[in-house]
Order: sequence, then C-alpha cells, then structure tokens
Amino acid sequence: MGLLSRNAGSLLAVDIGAAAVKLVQLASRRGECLVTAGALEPLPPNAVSGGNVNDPGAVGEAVARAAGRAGCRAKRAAVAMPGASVATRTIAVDAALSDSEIEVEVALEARQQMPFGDQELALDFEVLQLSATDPSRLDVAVTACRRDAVRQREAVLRRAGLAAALVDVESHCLQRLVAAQSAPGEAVAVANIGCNSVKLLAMRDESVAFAHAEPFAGHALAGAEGGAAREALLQLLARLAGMAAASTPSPARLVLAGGGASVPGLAEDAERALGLPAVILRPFAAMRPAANVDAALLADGGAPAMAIACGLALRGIATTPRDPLT
Amino acid sequence: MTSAVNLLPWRERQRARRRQAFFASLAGTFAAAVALVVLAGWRIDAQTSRERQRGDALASEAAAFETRIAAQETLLGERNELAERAAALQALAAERPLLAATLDELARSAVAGVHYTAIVGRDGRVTATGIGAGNSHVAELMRRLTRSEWFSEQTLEHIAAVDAGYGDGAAAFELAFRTSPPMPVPPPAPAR
Repeated sequence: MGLLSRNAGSLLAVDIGAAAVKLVQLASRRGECLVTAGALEPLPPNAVSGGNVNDPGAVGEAVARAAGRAGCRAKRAAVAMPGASVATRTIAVDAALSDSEIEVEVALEARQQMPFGDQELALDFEVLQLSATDPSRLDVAVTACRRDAVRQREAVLRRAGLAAALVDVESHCLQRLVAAQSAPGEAVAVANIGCNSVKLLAMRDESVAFAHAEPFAGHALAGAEGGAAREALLQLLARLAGMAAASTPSPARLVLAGGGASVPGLAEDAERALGLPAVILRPFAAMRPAANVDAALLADGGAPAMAIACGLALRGIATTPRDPLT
Repeated sequence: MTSAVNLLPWRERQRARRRQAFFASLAGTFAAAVALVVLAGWRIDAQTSRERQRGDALASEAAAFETRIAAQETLLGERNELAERAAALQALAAERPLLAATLDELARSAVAGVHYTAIVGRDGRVTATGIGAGNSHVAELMRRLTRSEWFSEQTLEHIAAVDAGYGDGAAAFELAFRTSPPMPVPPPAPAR
C-alpha cells in the first residue's frame, strides 16, 4: 500500500458530463490538499447524452485537449458512472463462505437481482456485517452497472492516452466532496442540478438517508426562459426537501451542486423558498492550486460544475484501507 | 453504503498481481539460491586451488631444501674425509721426527758407564736392555730419561748384577718407556 499510495496522487479524475469533460488532479502535501491539475473542456452537442457516450472519439479528444491544457502527465485515470446507470443492492450470502466463494456467489446473485437483464455486469462489493435477520448470513453491499457502459468510458480514456485505474459512481463522488466539506455528524441536503435532472440527497458522513431524482431541464436556467425555469426549480427543490425532511436526521443545510447551481442568486432564492441555509458547493474550497494550475479555475472555490471531478480526485489521495486502487 | 467503489475488475487484477509477485519472488529466490551455490562453489574451488598452490610451493621449497641438505651432507662428508686425511697426515708428520728424537734423546741421556745392548720399539713403547757399570749409573740414566719431554711412563723393568767381564757391581737392566711428541697435536673436532 505504501508504494501505491505515494503513487496514487498521480491519478487523474475525469468527469464526463453531458456538456463538458472536467479534469482534476489532487495531491496531499503535508496534510494540505493541493490541486495539481484542473481543466474544463466543452463537448460537442450529443457527444454524451443520458449518461451514454455516443461519440467516444470526440470525447476522447476533448479529454486529451483538457489534459494537454492542464499540463498533466498522469497516465492513470479515474472516471465516474452516472448514478442512473448504477444499481446497488444488499445481498445476503452464507457467512461460512471464503472470500473467493463470496465473490462467485455475489456475481451469481447480482445477475438475478440487478435490473440489467442478461447484460454483462461490472460490479464491486463490500462485505458489511452479519445479517440482522439471519446470523448465518453476511450482508454484502453490491454496486453494479453494465460492463458496456464501463467499457465506453475506458475507450474514451484510451483515446486520450490514459489507462482506467478506477471507475467510481458520480453520486458517491459528490457525497465524498460534501462530506469532506461538512463537520463530522452534520446532516446535509445536497441538490445536484444537472442538465437534465435534479437529484436531492439527504446525507451525513457519506451515508445517504434519502435520495430522489426528478427530471428537470437544467440547461434552460441560463436561457431566455430562465425566470420560469428558476421558479420551477425552486418548487421542485421545495418538494424534494419536504420529502427529505422526513428522513432522520433532517438536514440542517442545503448544498447546491451541479452546473445549474452557478445561476446567480439561486442560493438566496433557495434559502427563502426552503427555509434552510443554502450554499453553493465550492469544490476547491480549502484547497490550494499548485504553481502550474490556472488560478481562475479555483476562483471563489471553483465552479460547482467541477464538483464530481473534484470528489473523484479525492480518491487519488484517499488512504482508505480498503481502497480498490491498492 | 460503500463509498470506495471501483467497478473495474480490481480483484482479478490484484490476484494477477499477487500471483505475479509470488512467481517473481519464487524465481528470485531460486536465482538467489543458484547464485549462492555457484558462489560457494567458486569460493571452495578458489580455496582448494590456493591450498594446492601453497602445497606445491611448500613441496618445491622442501625439495630445494632437500637438495641443499644433500649438498651440505656431501660437503660435510668431504670435509670430514679431508679432516681425517689431514689428521692422519699430521699424525704421520708428528711421528716422523719421533724416531729421530728418540734416538736423539737416548743419546743425550746417555750416561758414561752404561751401554745398551738392545733397543726395541713397538707401538710407541720402547724397551731397552743394557748393562751399567753400577746401579747408580742405571739410576742416573733413569733420571735423565725421566727428564726427557719425549718420553713418558718410564719404568725400570728389570735390574740384575752381572759379571762376565764387566767388572764388579755391573748390572744388566731392562727399562721401558713410551715415546710421544712433547706437545701432542689435538685431533680435529668431529663435525656434526
């Protein structure tokens, strides 16, 4: 682990969004978080839609351009799958099984329980604890998505001259970043306002108590009918926050994330509409740029659009004992 | 809820890496063992050949010493032989004047009124018989002989009165002494 964790800082986080690819690379220096690379490169329309990479060539070129602009020499990259393409289940397996037997069992069970039909699966799992209902069984948290969707992103990275070392889940990246910026034990609601949907999470210390997504045309916020879209968004947020308040503990703070969070004055409007203190997620708050990084990228703590890339890049400097990187 | 998800087949990769590391360490261990054996072999060979060289050097040195000892022994033999010969020559040289000296001394010690009838010398011992005019004459002769440095163990073997025309009180006598050079040459010290 020692050898790899020193190397892990060279992991380049690549967030392939619908409108742009975002690159972030972090390093940990003397307990301080340093942004060693960062870039945002717009994508041609429809290159990525609905979490699918339609044009791997164009996206790969965009990633390569962004990496070149950021002066990044990393060869290993991390990407994140959109939350909608990922399913999670808790599967119970026989507690007497060995590690390799659990692996086989989980793969078999996941095929039956995951909503992907006969498609080949890319999955990861973590053994949680003995089942509460049956002590002879083990609860295993399984995350899976279609292997093809992972291959699409691997192909994009390959075209940019990068090797995929880590495939995470976008919502996990966002949670990781919000948790890193919250006090321990603080309950937070996160509204991720994307191009096509709004997702609200109620979370505490990276554990999610409530999650719900609604379709929403986020791109309209900046357009001619921005005012109407804004009203619709505030109503949607109020509705989702009402649902989230039922979860325990109810959130004490609303964090606005995603590209839509950049709309001016949205935080104040949301605060009024929801009666909760609202802030815009500043991914690079409490981080310092390295000498070669464009300071404009980190101005005001960075754009909310960089949040997923930043949360993903945190994996590169994490020293979690069970880090799949090692 | 796991937050460290990796949807890549990292478990397979980890296994492959571990397997690779295992075989690499196996190969490394094997190579190290082989290298160790080879090195040990070299070392033992080097030591053996060094010892053999030393043995050879010692043997050749010993052989050189043997030749020198043999040469020395030959020389020693020759020296002893020479020394013996020298001693014999010296003895001969010492003995040659003895006879003359004996006669010389006999003449020098001659006493008026005493004459010898026979002088016999054998093995360095001289027996002389003669007739003296009287006992005192014989006694004087004995005294003179005793004084001589060339004679030793002078003894008067026999003395008896005779007449037969020699006058009154004449005495026939027989005496003996040993002849030897006055300063005997010491024999050469035997060499070791």
